[in-house]
Amino acid sequence: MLQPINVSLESLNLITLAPMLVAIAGGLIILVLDLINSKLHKTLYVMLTLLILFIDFGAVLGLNVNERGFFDVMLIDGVSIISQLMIIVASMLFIPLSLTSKRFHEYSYPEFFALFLFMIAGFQFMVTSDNLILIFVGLETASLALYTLIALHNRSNSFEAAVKYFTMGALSAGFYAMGSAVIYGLTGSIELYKVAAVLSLRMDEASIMIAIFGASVLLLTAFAFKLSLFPFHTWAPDVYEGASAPLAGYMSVVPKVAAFVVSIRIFGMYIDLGIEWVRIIILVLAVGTMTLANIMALVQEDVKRMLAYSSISHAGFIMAALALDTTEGTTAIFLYYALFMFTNLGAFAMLWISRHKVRRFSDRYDNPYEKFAGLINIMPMGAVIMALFMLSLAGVPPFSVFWGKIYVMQAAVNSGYVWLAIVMGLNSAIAAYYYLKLIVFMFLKEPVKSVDTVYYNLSKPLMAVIGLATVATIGAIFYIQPLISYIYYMISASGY
Amino acid sequence: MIGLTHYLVVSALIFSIGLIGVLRRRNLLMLFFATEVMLNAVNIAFAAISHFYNDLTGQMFAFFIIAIAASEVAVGLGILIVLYKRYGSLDLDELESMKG
Amino acid sequence: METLVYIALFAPFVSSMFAALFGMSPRKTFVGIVASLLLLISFAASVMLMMHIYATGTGIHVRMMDWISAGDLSIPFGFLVDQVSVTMMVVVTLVSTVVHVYSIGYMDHDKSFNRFFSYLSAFVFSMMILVMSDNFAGLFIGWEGVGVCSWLLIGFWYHKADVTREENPSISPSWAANEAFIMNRIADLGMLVGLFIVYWNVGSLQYDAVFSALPHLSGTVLNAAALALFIGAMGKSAQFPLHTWLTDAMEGPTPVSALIHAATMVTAGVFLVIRANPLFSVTPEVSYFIAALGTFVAFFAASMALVNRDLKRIIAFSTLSQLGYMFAAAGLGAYWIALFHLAAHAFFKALLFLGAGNVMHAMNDELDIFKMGGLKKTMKWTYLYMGVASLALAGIPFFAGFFSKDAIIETAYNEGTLVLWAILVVTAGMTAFYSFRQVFLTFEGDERYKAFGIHPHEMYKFVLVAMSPLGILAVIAGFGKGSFEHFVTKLLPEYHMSEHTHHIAWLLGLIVLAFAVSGIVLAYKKYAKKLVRDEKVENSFIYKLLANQYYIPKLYEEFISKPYAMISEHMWKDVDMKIVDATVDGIAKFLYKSGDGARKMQSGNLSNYLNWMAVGAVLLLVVAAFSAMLG
Repeated sequence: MLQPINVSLESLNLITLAPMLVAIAGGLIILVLDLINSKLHKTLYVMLTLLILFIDFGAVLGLNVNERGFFDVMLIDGVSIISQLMIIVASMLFIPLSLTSKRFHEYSYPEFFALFLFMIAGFQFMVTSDNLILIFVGLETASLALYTLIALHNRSNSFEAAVKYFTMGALSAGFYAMGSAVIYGLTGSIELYKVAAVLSLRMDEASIMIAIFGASVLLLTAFAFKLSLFPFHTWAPDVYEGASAPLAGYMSVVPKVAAFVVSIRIFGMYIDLGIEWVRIIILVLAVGTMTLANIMALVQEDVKRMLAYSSISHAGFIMAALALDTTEGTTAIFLYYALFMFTNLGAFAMLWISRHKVRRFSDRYDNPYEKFAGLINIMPMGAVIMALFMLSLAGVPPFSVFWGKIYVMQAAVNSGYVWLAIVMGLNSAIAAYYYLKLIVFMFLKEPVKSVDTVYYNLSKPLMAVIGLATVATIGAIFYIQPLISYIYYMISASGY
Repeated sequence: MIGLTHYLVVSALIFSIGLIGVLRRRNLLMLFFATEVMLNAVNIAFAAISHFYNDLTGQMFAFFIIAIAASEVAVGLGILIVLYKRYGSLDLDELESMKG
Repeated sequence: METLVYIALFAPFVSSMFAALFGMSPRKTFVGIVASLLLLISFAASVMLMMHIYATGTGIHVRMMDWISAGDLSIPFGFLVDQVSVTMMVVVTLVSTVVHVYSIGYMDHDKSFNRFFSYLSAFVFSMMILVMSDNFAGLFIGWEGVGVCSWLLIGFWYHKADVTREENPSISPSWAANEAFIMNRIADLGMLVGLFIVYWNVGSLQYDAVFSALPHLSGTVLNAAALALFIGAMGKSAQFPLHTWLTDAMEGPTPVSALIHAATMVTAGVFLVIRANPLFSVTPEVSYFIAALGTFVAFFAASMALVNRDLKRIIAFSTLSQLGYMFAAAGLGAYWIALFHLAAHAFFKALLFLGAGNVMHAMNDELDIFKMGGLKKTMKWTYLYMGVASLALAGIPFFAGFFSKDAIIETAYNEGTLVLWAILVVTAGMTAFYSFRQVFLTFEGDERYKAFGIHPHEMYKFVLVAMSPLGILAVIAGFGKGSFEHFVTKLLPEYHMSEHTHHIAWLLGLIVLAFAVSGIVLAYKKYAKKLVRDEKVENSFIYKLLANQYYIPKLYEEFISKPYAMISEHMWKDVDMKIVDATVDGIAKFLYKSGDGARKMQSGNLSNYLNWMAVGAVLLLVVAAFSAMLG
């Protein structure tokens, strides 16, 4: 006689799914609202999205550390909780940026907000699982939504960006799938903890190394693409340029946090198994990324592209922390992004307030350096704030990113990678040059023409977001210690 | 007797064909087909391994890949259509307005 | 109690941030009012803390957070409120509150009104960190903060154009601000060296840890540390030879001068010596040097004040002279007397400056006392305030200065350092003379200002009322001497006069008093009725020497600034441009070139990008294979 299927609700532990369900349900509610009354103002959608994000945030805070749920595919550990919190906070900073004083095409669609929420749910799935299927589903949900959001900006550059991102993303999805297949073939399992258990038993076999080779290179390619590491970064500058400024800032943080979580789970596992060459290729990628992105940022003529390259370089910086595979190193990853998030979103938001419908300063670029020449005369407060962000990105104490940099370097030194810390220091020195270039343009040059509308797109919500980012950037010295201890506690609680 | 190895070799071959297609094709539509080919190659591998281990997980993965491939096509084609409307062509070499 | 500590510390910070919010907007009176209220809150909290400590006799130690922990270096962000720091806190917040209120009136017409309050409160906040910190690192942070704020405030009217040196020894506010900052930086180097010496030998910067480790250190180390720290104190407290910035700092708005002189800056050096008294007690040679230097500066500054014609500079010289007294006391081991004089001096010196501010306000920013006279008719209250403050400064019995200054002079006698004693006594006479010379020239005699078409008027009522606490304290503060001694000697070493000194104390006091009174009488005779200028005296060598501040500013200019500029120019043109710059440019060019090269990778063509991805995957395989084979 067959056993009747019997799944007890308790064993499902549905609470672990609550955050994603909130986001998905929120997206659906927005779509339904639009069906009922299609004339609702976009402000309503913004507020609704913010509200849903708040509930989502609360749901994440309510999770217990180190629990599994839903047939054990959900894994709630410290890493997943902090990464979800960061994703949601960044999203909350992003959403009010749609309330600009000028009307932009995409924000009038409720679908924009629904897609945005689905994307967040996707990222949340990605970080709360060690099941390769769920990671894949989350990754693709988020990515597909993101491609669409980019394309919604409705300029030919945005379409080009979306196509480039999409095609390369499809290729990386292929790599990811093949990598998972190899892992599955090797171990007969797609749950990372079981994979690790099987691999550790078979580490002595000579032939297995070749298969691990294949699997890890395929997976690393897929995630190096997501993390925009050299030489898989080629999409990033074009996509950042084509996307709207806030979305570009958002993309430099949130997808990368999610991808880092998965990378920690997968490659951290390899390094833990004692496969030293994984660490080496990650280090090679990291050093190559930060150096090359930095020197390419030097020669940019457009601030947004410069910021894109700088984000790539920062990602390389953080990738180096991943290779350390110590609790301190993993803490550094999240700390860095938590600090970088505010500053970088703030900087992109500053570009957003100067967004014009048509290019006024150059045929090719939206935000050439000349646009910001003499900003101190036109908009003194804006120039000072932008300078603050640049100084922070350059790692000038006591602004936020400095603490992230110093912590990463300290983690590197503590693990015995003194040369890595030196490379990081040299790169920060190179990076300072192009950040200061913008400051020089803003403070020391005369305005190019009497363009009175640099702050064309400014509105109260934008000011609020930028103000928040400024406070977080300046006040880092006051919250850095509790932040480090919180992240460190969460990371060590989940055993990384 | 056709065993696991044969399936895996076929899968690898198809994956390579897909990859080469992605690298060499100049038409966006063909490029998308090539990525589908890659994903389907992975499906073959999953199905074969799943049968080998007598474990359903692999087939589940394959189904998810099919679903994802389908949605990828949906989104990809959507973007392609707007792109075609704007540029009037699907040739990759004409998408070069952003560089440097 | 902990909350009170935080309130006292952070109220000025909040005030500064609040005012900064309006920094760019036009003058808003409520900014000044809110800032003053916050300072008042800080003052109230300080007073409550003082009462608490007075009642319990034990200090409060709070540890806010671990601030720096890198390797072995662990610097907690902690605050120590004990008898010494609470005295400083009360003095600082009281004077600052009055100065804030005063500034509402004084800066009335300034368009950067809000910005001024932001700086002013930041100044107070820095000073509070300086006095409240429980370790040398925190003290140093406050120390530097005070330096920065003083730079901002002295150069507050940075837009004023340069004038020639004949007209004004400091050529412009921004010049004076830079001078103050650079002089302080020089001294800070000494301070830093001192901190490093302490840290290397003790392994901690916490006061209690450092002081308890002192017995284990060798004499050389102790002397070096004490000397280096004192060099830091010399800069902040403007002791010879780093004194020139203090008088030039008069370029700042008058409330700033009041703050710098009475509360937030120059006293920091004295505070450091008092705070680190265990260190200075075990280094008698350094202490004697401090006392000798203090005495010298007391005389030296007083002599320059004798002939100066600038209202504010005279007061500035008197501060310098009084700081000399404080250092003399501290150097002789009478730390509590030094602290007492510091507090008493703060009250009447702030009052003097604010009074001078009233006069300036009335005289359209005229500062030359030869152009004033007879102001008592229109400025009765200011005359009263400045008269009281001058009496206190001159050390006339039962005013605040009498008790503290007399005690210092007595100490000098008690220690058997009769030379110091004699100089200090003479200086007391000079002090009385120059302060009353200034008062009489300003308020009595013929109304010389009429020739310049000035119509003086009294300051706003609320300003005069706000000054009253200082006026009252300048009169009565001295009577608290006994209980103050009882209060602070719980922490500071006690100091007792010997039997012999005690016996002849009345005689010593009488001698000082005789000098002081004769100074006043002399000033009255010469200046009260009418200004008679004596060409012969004014052309004499000594007069010129004094009026030109012993030619020290000129000496600095000729022998330090100019050669330095020459060397700098040489280094710039020959070393920097030709060697350093060329190297740096070379690196930059190389980076730029490689950037341009790498840029080709970003061709914009999607197919290329995809190929890069595949190439990258292959590269990864190769690197992995290599490292697997090698490792």
